[in-house]
Amino acid sequence: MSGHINELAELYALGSLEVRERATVERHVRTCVECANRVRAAEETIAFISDLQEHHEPPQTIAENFVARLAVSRVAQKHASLKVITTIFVGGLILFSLMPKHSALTGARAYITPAVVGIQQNRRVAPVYRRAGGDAVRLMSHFNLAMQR
Amino acid sequence: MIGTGTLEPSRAWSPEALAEPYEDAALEQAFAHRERWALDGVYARYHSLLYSVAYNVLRNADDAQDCLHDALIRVWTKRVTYDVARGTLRSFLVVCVRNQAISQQRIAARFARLSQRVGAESSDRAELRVVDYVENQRLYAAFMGLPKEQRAPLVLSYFLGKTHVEIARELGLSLGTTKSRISLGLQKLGRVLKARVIS
Repeated sequence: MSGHINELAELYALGSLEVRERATVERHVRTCVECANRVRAAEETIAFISDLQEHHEPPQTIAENFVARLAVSRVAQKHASLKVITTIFVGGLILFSLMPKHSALTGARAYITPAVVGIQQNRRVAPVYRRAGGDAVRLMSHFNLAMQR
Repeated sequence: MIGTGTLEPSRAWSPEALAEPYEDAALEQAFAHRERWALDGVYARYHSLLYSVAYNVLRNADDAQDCLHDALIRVWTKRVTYDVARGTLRSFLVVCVRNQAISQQRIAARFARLSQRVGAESSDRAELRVVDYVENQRLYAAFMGLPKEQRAPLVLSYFLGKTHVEIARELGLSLGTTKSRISLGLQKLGRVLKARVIS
C-alpha cells in the first residue's frame, strides 16, 4: 500500500474490516510508524471503552479450564505437525514414482513405485495420515521389501 | 509456569499463582519474546478484564470463556504477534479478545437475529440503543457527546460488531462516508475519554 491507511486504522482496531483489509493494515503497519501509532491510539481507546463497560466476574474454574484447553491445543499442534510431515513425505513419494523414465533418478524410481503401489493395494494410505509416526516406519518397511525384490 | 509457544503445561494454577505480582514492562517484554512465565503472568493479570470484554460482546458465560481462551492460544502460538513497540500489551489483548468475540458473534445465530432486528430499525433508533449497552454514565455521556452522524455508525461498529460494509448498507451511506464517520467518531471519543481521565 502506498501512502497511509488513514481511517482504516480505527476500523481495524474496532474489528470492522473485512479479512482482506485487515491483512492489508497488518502488512502496512509493520513498516509505517505513523500508521502504527494511529492504530495504537485507536486500540487504546477501545481498551478505555472496555474499562468503562460493565464488569463480569469470570467463573471460578476458568484457570483450570484454560490449563485443560492448553493441553488439548498442545496435542492438536503435535498432530498437525505430524500430518504435515507425513503429507509431504507421501506426496513426495507419489511425485517421485511418476517421474519420467529417463530421469537421472530412474534407478531409485524402480524401487519407489512398487512401494507406493504396495501401500495403495494394502489400503494403508489412510492409516498413514491417521497415525503418522508408526506408519512412517511401515512406509520404510515397504521400501525395504521393494528393494529386496 | 504453563507454557512456551509450544504450550507445555507445567504446573497447576492456584489462586496464589494467579495473584502473583508482575511488572508491566517486564511482562510485555517477556510476552513478546514468548518466555515461559509470560503466559502465566498475562493470564493472572488480565484474565478477569479480558473475560469481561468477551462477555460484553457475547453475553454468555461459556462463550466468553471459550473466546478468551481461543484468543490467548491464538496469540501465544504466534498466529497473532505482539510487538512491544506497537503499544501496551493490555490494549493489544483487549483488541484481540474483542475481535475474537466479534468473529464468534458474527457466526452465531444470536447475531443473525440481532442483525435482523437492528437492520429493520432506522439510524435514529440505532443511536438510541447506546443506552442498552452502556451502563457507565461517563461512557454514555462520551458517546452522546459525539455528533449524531458519527454516533450511529460507531454504535453499530463497537456494540454490534458490524463491518463498515454492513453499516454503510444499513444506514444508506457510501463506504467512504461510513469509514470516515466511524474513524472520526472513535478519535473524538478517545480524546474525550482521555481528557476526563486527566482532569
